[in-house]
Amino acid sequence: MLTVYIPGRERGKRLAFIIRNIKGLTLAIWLLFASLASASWAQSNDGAGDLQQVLGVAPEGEILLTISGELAVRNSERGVQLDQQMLSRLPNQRYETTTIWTKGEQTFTGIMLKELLSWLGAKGSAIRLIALNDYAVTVPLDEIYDEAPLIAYLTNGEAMSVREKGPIWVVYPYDSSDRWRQQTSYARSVWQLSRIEVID
Amino acid sequence: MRRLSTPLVFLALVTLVSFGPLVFLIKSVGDELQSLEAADMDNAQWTVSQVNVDLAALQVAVANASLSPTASMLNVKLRFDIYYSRVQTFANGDYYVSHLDEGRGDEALAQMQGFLTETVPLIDGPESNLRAALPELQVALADQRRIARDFALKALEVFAAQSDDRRREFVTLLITLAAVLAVMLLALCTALVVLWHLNRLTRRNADIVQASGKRMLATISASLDAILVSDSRGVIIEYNGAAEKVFGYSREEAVGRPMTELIIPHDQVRAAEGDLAQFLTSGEKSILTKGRVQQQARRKPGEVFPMEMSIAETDQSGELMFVAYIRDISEQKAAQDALKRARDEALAGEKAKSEFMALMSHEMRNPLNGLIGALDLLERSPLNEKQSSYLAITQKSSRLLLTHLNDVLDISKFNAGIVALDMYPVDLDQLLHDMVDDNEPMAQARGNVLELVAPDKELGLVQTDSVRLTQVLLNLISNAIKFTRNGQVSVEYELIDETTKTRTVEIRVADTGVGISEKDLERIFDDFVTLNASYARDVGGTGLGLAIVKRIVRAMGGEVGAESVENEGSIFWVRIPFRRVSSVRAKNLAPSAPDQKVQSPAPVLSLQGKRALAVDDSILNCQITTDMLESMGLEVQLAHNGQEAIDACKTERFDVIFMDISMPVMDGIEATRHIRAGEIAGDLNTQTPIYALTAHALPNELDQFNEAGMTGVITKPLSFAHLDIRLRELFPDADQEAVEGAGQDMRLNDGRLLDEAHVQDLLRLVKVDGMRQRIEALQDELNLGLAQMRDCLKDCDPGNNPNASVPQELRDQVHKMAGMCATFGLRHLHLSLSDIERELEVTDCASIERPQERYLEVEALTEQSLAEIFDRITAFAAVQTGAGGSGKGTARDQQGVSDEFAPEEETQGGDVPAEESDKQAVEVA
Repeated sequence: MLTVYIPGRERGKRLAFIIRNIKGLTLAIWLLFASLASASWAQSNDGAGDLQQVLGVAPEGEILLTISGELAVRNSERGVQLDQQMLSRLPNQRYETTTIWTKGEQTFTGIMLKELLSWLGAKGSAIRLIALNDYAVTVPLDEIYDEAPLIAYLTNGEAMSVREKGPIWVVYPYDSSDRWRQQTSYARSVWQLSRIEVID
Repeated sequence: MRRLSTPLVFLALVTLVSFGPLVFLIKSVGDELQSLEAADMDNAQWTVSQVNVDLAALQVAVANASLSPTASMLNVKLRFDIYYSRVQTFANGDYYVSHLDEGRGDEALAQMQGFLTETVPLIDGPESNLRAALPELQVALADQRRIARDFALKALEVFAAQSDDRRREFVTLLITLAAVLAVMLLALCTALVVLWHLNRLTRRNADIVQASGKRMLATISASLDAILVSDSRGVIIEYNGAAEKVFGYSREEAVGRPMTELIIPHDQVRAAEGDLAQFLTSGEKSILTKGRVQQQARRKPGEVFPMEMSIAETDQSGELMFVAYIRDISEQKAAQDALKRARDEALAGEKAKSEFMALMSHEMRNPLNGLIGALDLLERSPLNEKQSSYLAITQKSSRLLLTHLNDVLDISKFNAGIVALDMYPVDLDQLLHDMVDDNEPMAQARGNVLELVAPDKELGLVQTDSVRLTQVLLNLISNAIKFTRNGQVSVEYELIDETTKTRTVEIRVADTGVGISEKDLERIFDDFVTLNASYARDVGGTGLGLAIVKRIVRAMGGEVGAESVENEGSIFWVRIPFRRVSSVRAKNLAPSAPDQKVQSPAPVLSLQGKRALAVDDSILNCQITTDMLESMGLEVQLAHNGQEAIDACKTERFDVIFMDISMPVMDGIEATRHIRAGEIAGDLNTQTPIYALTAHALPNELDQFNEAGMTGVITKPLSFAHLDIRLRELFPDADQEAVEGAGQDMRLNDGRLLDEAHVQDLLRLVKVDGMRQRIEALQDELNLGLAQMRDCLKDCDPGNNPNASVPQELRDQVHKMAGMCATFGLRHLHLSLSDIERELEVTDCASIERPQERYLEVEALTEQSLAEIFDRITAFAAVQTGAGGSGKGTARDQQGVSDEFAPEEETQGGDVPAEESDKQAVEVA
């Protein structure tokens, strides 16, 4: 085995450089396989108009999620606020996947973030996801896809407590593709989500 | 190329060998990348450090809640829940569970979980309880803070170590990969260099090949000869411009097609294919590669023409090819043929001319013969002085004329190529001695001394044509005498070389005469050369003498030459390789020279009582011959053709016969044959010397004479001198001969038809009656055979059917009859039929001589023979019954005849035909 001494910092840079290059090379191949894997989610048929009616009414129960920024619909001063009931009335999707933070396969039920934003008529370049513990991450709008992420409000059919990373957890279908098993995806998998800010 | 391929192979091997590890390395890197691609964890450091943050937030919330007894517990509950959730992540999360086990962070985690489990009832319980427990909670949280920090530090340590390990492995992997790639790259670079070099070499070689190919193409296309290249199956693969011209096919037409289809004549295709097949199977070369051969070839229009061809085979990368160089030689051939034709015509013309000359000379000699003979006779009649002198002039002129004629005839014969030498054993010393003696008077007449200078040792007998040799020497000696006056002529000879087969003798004739100028010396042996006009007038001469000498000497295999100093004299020499004589043979049988100028004295020979038969169709010639012979005392009987001669021979025995050759009815050769055979002509003269009288003794004729059984040849014109020589030879002792002649029995007809001894044997064997029966049966058979012969001859009539071949049945019939005749001793008939049979073997109908006549002869002979044999039977019967003295006499006669025929029977049994006597043949030869 050849042993070449490379000082720590330098080593890290070079490694990153090499990986980036090789990554580009192999990405295309992996994408091909990714498209074959399927996440299980169903398409809702509800019209946008009905949903705006739903979203336009102020919530009656405990407010789980607040969406602010430039929106077409509002039900409070701060923007759109959603309780458990409202969430359950919106068309939902389901992931069956494991996560690195939980034990065993989980069934997540929730709303597609992209759909939600479109129903709300959100206008901006990015959104900011903010958790109860003030953890925050910014996601560009064009990195919000049709199939991910999901604004989950049920785990295995049950509402989630804060102890169980609820009440709302942004999840990706990690098992379906390497594409989602990325640092970025993990970082954007915000648990104990409380607010979404649409930003320019 | 080969030199470079070794490193190339080595490099390929290196590349191949490093390919295995490379594939493995790439796969490892791929796996590694895949694992990097799919991160199986989030930012663990962050998550771990957040434990402290979340715990701190809980402490703050608890502290804030402790400040006022009415403060809300909600924030404390929320922060607890958040902290709870964080710790649960480490406890339950698959990744953290698996990784932190190794880091021994589980103890701290257990303590943290224990705290949470204890605290949950408090948090979920009544707010008052919680509020009351806040101070305790604060203390517990401070403790938790320490535990959480320991956990976080340990976890961070674990992750960092894991991360380092992983990076290190990956770096090593990449470095290995890089090293292998470097090796491969090096190998590939070297290979590239080698390949580049190879490429350069290849290109250079290709350039050379191309250049040589162009040169070759130029050579081929510029060739004047047609060049064809074919593969081993004879298919044309190259074809040049000259070939297009020669064969008429364009290159496009020719290439790719088999030669047999294009240029080999149709009738030779099979043979050519056979040759090729044979060559391919056995490697045996027939026409192929045999060097230059002349063959026939075919042009496009189908015309066949002669060509000269040379084929080479060549091996090109294992493929056998033929290269043929072909030259059209039709014009050359045509020119050759024309030349040959012209030469043949010229030769034929020349031959015709010579033949004409010979014939003319012959025709002129015949009347001259009569003239000279008549003059000889005239000389013997009483003449007055004046008449004698006229006669002398006439005789001299006629002899000179004859000499000239002979010269011209000789030259013509030499030129026509019809001269053959007649070799006899000759005593050279004697011949030269005689020569000098004979010329002595002529030398004296011109005041010259003629002497012979002989070597000490005699040369003895040699084989030569004495007539021709005499002719040569006479010419040289008489020339020397002619051109010398009051001088000396000497004839010298000596043996200069000797081998087992030959003795080479040089004969020199030297004179002290006028000599010959140097420029003339060169041409004296040419035709028609006379040097001195006055001498020529004086001595006469055609200018052919030396030309004839040269031809004769050449024919004898010798040389002739002359040396001379003007006004001092000349030396003429001949060198002749004579054949040795193996055994001593009679030397006096050579015919005498026809132009011998020796004037013999009048014959004194007394030949009283000798009988001669002179046969000549010319009455004049007959008269002269008769007169000459009678003057010598001979009794002469005349016959005017061969038949008459035979008839005469039947009844009379002669001592000598002079036989002319060309005669009507039967020529001299045939007559001689009959006389020798003794059948028709009787046996009286089978041994009698027969001399041919001829003016034209051509070599093939001499052969015929010999075969016929002639004793010798006397060339016309007949002269006393010739006759005297011959008769002296014949009758050295006239008295003795006379006695012998008297002793001869003059029997007429007995035994000429039958083989008496055989007939007697048969008679004794089968007795009279048996013999008679058999002969009667034979008579029937023969008559039947004759009838069939008659029919066949009718079919075979040349008038009806000139080209018909002789019918086989005729041949068979004759053969059968001949056989029967032999069985019963009908000797003559047997022999005649055998002759006819032999003749029928080789001729067609048209060339059978006198068929009707011959048939009649056979018929007559049959009748005679049968009559004879019946007579014999009767006579035998008479003897058997003890009849009177006449019968006895007949028997005695028969016995005598039988004895006489005994040796002839032996001859008949041999290969030599009965007509030819061995002895006679030898004598003449």
